[in-house]
Amino acid sequence: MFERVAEQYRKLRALLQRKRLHRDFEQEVRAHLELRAQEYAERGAAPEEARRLAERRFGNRLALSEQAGDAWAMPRLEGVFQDLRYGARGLCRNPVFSLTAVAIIAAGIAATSSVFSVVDRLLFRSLPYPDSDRLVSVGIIHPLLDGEFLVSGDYFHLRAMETPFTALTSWRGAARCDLTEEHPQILSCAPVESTFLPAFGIAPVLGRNFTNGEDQANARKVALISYGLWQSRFGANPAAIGKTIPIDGVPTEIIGVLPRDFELPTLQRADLVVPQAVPFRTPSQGTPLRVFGRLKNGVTVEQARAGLGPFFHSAMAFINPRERAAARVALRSVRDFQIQDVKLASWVLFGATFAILLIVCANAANLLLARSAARQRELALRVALGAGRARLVRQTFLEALLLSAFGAAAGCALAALLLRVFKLVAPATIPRMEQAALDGRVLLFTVSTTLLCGILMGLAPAAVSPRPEVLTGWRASSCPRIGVRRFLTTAQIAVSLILLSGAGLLLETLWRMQNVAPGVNTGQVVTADITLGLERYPNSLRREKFFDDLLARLRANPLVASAALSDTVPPAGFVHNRPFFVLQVPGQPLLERGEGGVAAWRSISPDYFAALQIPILRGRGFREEERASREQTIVLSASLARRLFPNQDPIGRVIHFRPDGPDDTVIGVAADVDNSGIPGHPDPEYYLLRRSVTDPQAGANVSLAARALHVYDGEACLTVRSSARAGVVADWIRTEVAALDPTVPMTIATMRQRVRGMSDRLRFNAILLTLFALIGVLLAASGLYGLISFLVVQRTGEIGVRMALGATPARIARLVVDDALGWTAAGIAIGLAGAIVTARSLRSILVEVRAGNLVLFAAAALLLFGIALAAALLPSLRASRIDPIQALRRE
Amino acid sequence: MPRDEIPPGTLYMLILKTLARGGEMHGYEIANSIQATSFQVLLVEEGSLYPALQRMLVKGWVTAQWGTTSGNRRARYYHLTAAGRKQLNVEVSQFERVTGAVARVIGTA
Repeated sequence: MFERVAEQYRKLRALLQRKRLHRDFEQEVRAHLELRAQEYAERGAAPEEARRLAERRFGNRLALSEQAGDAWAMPRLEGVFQDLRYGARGLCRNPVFSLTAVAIIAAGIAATSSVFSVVDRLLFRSLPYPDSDRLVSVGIIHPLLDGEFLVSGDYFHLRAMETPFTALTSWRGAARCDLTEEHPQILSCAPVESTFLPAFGIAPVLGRNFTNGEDQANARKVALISYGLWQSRFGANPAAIGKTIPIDGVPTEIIGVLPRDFELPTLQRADLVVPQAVPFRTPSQGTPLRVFGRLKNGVTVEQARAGLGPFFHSAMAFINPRERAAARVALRSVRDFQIQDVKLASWVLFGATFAILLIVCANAANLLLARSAARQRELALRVALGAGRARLVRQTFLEALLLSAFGAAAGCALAALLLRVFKLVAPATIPRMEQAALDGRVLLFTVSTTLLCGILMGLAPAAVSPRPEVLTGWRASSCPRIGVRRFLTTAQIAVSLILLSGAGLLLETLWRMQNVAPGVNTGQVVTADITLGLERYPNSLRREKFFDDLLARLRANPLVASAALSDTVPPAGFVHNRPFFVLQVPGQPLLERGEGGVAAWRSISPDYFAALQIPILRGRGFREEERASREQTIVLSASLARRLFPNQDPIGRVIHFRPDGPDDTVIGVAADVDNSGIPGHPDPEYYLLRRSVTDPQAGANVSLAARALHVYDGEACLTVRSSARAGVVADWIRTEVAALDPTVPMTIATMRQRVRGMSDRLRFNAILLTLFALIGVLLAASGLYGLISFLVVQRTGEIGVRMALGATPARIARLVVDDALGWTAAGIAIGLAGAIVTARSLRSILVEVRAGNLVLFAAAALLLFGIALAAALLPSLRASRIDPIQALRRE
Repeated sequence: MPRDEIPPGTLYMLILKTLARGGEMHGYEIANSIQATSFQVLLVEEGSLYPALQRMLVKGWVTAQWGTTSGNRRARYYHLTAAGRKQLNVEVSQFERVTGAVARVIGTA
């Protein structure tokens, strides 16, 4: 066996040095002849005679050289080379055909490779944790929070139990924190349990992880810093370990540096990893924790979920029985946890690219079929001369592969370009987008799709064998491949319709998302998130003075219509909320603990409604002078007012905050604002006045504390409405803030950018899918055009006869168009069925759009029909202008 | 002097044996050597010697290298490989078995 392989290898090497081999042989024989002649000469022959004798003794040199060559021959491989050369020559002879085919294939491969490079990171590639497929996220999904969680008491309970995990850990989710040094910096802190890094299999590159003893509320503060922070802030100096830095004003010792590829399971940025110091609690109590476990070997996710059934049952105890229906158990792989809401979208894109690839292959196959039809005589001649069927099939396949190879090369270049475009237009919320690159894996994928494409393309023409009768007959027509070509065209139309309607649905969703009135007037509003550090602003009075001064300075600008402060702004991002049951209207039945979901709330300055132009529907908004008074007032959103006071006038009514909170008097009702992230589905919301907190120690702020749950008043969002350009307003804000304190960190964005951020991901999907749909339709149209033109050429003779017999040009045109439209209609019917199925699977990412949107489907079908008609019209006009005399003479 | 053609199928064996005995040799030397060691009985048909050498190169029994002869001519020298040595043993034992059998048949006649 080995010897045969070695022999093939030697032959293969020889193949590359054929010339040398031949030269060596010639020289060798010549040397032999000379030696022999010399021998004869030494024996006394004349030089001429000696040479003649030597030649005669040697024999036939020419036959010899051939025999020697045969020793090295690899007939099969050389046949392939020969076919390749032949194919390449054929493709060069027909550059329009070749370039078209290569361009089509390149487009398909570029689309698939670039999209694959994006979704590969999301769906297939392993995570940067050892044995990452054994890592799972564990918890309960409830409307209270995004994503699964366990309350800390239940988590400690789980720890004490026999579990299917080898390691179990928890963390609280990344939150912002500030490095309050000379050059303040907004950082992202990840509070984790001491077991977090070991459970994920992460070791610090420098220093150590913190101990359980350091993971306590009263322990000295320690932190691990990210590789990036270590590089940028400490110049990668190992002496950073042991240094003390102020985090939110608290001295914190650096004990370790995280690896470069460290990644939080939520993919959030983490500059610091700190102890979370969650105190022990009894079950059903405590703070929500995100829990991750490492499954024991051999235990599947389903087994673990089943095994933990009793635990999950008890872990739901903190939820009100009537609300439990809304809660779900979640135990899923970290990958699924990470890509929860992009998973479907990724598969959709991936599916769409494969649809494009199919269209591309069908189109290219059609081109090849057209070519092979035109070459029937040549192929038949080859058969007549003795070429086997296998040889011709191989030839066809090689040509298809050759085209695919060129297409792939061009496609790779195009894919690199496309990927750049993706990265430019992709929103930051698509996880791992920045990591996408055309690397070995993607290239491997490209090569295999190329092969697949080549095989699919080659299949169609190879399936039809040329018949030698063609040579004898007087025309080469009416061959079965017309059927194949019609089928391919029909398939293309069907797939394009699916793509088109899918893209249409996404576009409609996008349009709705942008046109559903968000409840706020987003025009001409610039926002700035501002944070005051505890070190420079240790008490409430200093913080309030800063914000008051800032508002006063901005309002002094005549072009500023209004300037307001609030803790958060709609629609995207974080909003404070409280469980619904704490809101009690005296005289109405109490809600049970945990019942009724949540109500969002914001603390705002009086100008807030004016700055965002949120209409006050009843009563009034807050007044400036109320800020100093002790009167407790509240403004409700329309939906909350409807819910608390159905069919009643809420103005003047009192809301009690359970259990011992203040009684707030309702002074107004504001219009609903999109605050849930889903357009058109506002959560109930209430507004509290952002007011002066005179002295926290003296307890004067009890009411605010009870309602606000210790919201830090050094963090605020400034909203400025002005008719000036956004850039100018941003500069004003920067200038005024810097005039007060140049060290205050802030983030500036227009309101419009914030709103757009909500639909970024959808827009990205919609753009890509639309692009694909357009490519698909274009390809299908060109395929149809090609097919009909081809048919017209084939039927020239028949048309000539018809015309000679008196058919009008219009009739001829209809003959051609009717045929084309029949196939288009079939494609559209199949496509519609596919589109409905696709739309169903898309349902979860379509907001406010019914999946069975018939108008949209009809529009897509009509559009496609129109395009098909246009594609059919041109060749049919050509058919109607055929001169019967010429046509008949050609035969 | 009467000269006999080399019995069919034994050319490889003769070349291999010659190379095994004489070390590196070029084609002319191999042809002469076979002739000389067979006391001028076996005449190598030179026309088939070189194609045979090519096939042996393909099989990996010998390797070839250009060198210079004592007469200062360029010539291609052949060298036996380990595989060639093994092949020689195979062919010799096969040949002995066959000739032995043939001799027995003739002897009994």
